[in-house]
Amino acid sequence: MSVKYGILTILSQSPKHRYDLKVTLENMMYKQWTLNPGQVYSTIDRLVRDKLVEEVSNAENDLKLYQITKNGREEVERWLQNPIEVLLLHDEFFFKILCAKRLNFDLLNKMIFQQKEAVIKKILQLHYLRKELENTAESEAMLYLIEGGLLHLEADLKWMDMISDLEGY
Amino acid sequence: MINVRNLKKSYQISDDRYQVLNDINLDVSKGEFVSIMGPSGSGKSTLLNILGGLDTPDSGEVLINNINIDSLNDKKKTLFRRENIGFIFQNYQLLHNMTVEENISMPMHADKINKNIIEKQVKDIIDAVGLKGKEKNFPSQLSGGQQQRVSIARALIMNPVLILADEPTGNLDRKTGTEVLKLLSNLHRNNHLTILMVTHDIYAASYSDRIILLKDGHVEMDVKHEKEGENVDLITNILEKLNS
Repeated sequence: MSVKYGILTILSQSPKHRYDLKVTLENMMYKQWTLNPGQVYSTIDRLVRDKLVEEVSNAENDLKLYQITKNGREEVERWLQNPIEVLLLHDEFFFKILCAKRLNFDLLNKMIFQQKEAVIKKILQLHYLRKELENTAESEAMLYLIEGGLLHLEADLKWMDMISDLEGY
Repeated sequence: MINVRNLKKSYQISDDRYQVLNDINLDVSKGEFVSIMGPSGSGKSTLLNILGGLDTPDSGEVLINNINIDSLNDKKKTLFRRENIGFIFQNYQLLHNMTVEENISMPMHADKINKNIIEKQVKDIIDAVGLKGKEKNFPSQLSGGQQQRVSIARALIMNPVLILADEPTGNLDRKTGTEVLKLLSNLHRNNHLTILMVTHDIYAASYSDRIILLKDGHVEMDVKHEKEGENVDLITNILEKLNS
């Protein structure tokens, strides 16, 4: 996930100071993802350097307040509208299959079995998370992600079954 | 709740004998929602039929609440099924010349239950499955999803301890299927029902707490959810998956 676009999204709604940005970003992810403060702060500095975000004076206290610039808004729009390149080998298991076949790895069957088990465990985890979120407000976006995650995992399982069939396991 | 021991079943087709279930061992606790998955011919429907007393094993035993269903005579077996097990089928198996409420109340009439009790329970169950206003409709006047709701209501009307569902969403599109799965999931959660569902669809299985994979008549995999630390980094994983 891109911290950069998370920050730009939040600043598109209202100016924030550094710590507030970190907390809001974590809340947006239902506190499931703890951010390293250094990662957030260095990203803000880069966004300021690139003129996508600017500091504004804060009369109430000494904390630096950040707001998005016109360029920053255009950057978010561009990012939202551009499709993401699909890179199959970003999935390590795709790459593992490639390497295992190259080595004629004799435990390919076990490798697929274990990966199937891991995928099914993940599916059950998503089921529980979905159950938890169904009872909370403002969870629609995360429920969409869970459905997306389930569809990906479903495809992974079908693909592994296909390899098993082709390999005669 | 359910204990399956060394279960074997084979079928004779022409000159060949096919081993459909090959030494299945399985324990299901009260209140579990279990999916049984596997490719065609893996034995999943045969297993469900034996669990429900609709088929008999060659050897081994099935205990439901410590009762060996196969040891009962036909009359006792029918009674045991009616009072303890609710069945849900892919093709609903509704009687088309009967209304929604008549289909649902059918198992109660067989038990000669008082008319007022029947009316009250049918009304409650119709509300619970979201079919209010459809009481006098015939199955042909309902959508596939609604027909499956009738079949779920009929399965629940005798307050069974166990629900056996064979591909309950197999004839439904994903949206309608999801509604049926949510209904089953809510009934499971609210009434502590034990559900065994056969499905070929991992998305449907994602509504259960445990997934058992059958392959060539044996249990290939039995995966339960580990509640501890379940959501650590979960969203990050989903996002990585979506971006990969």
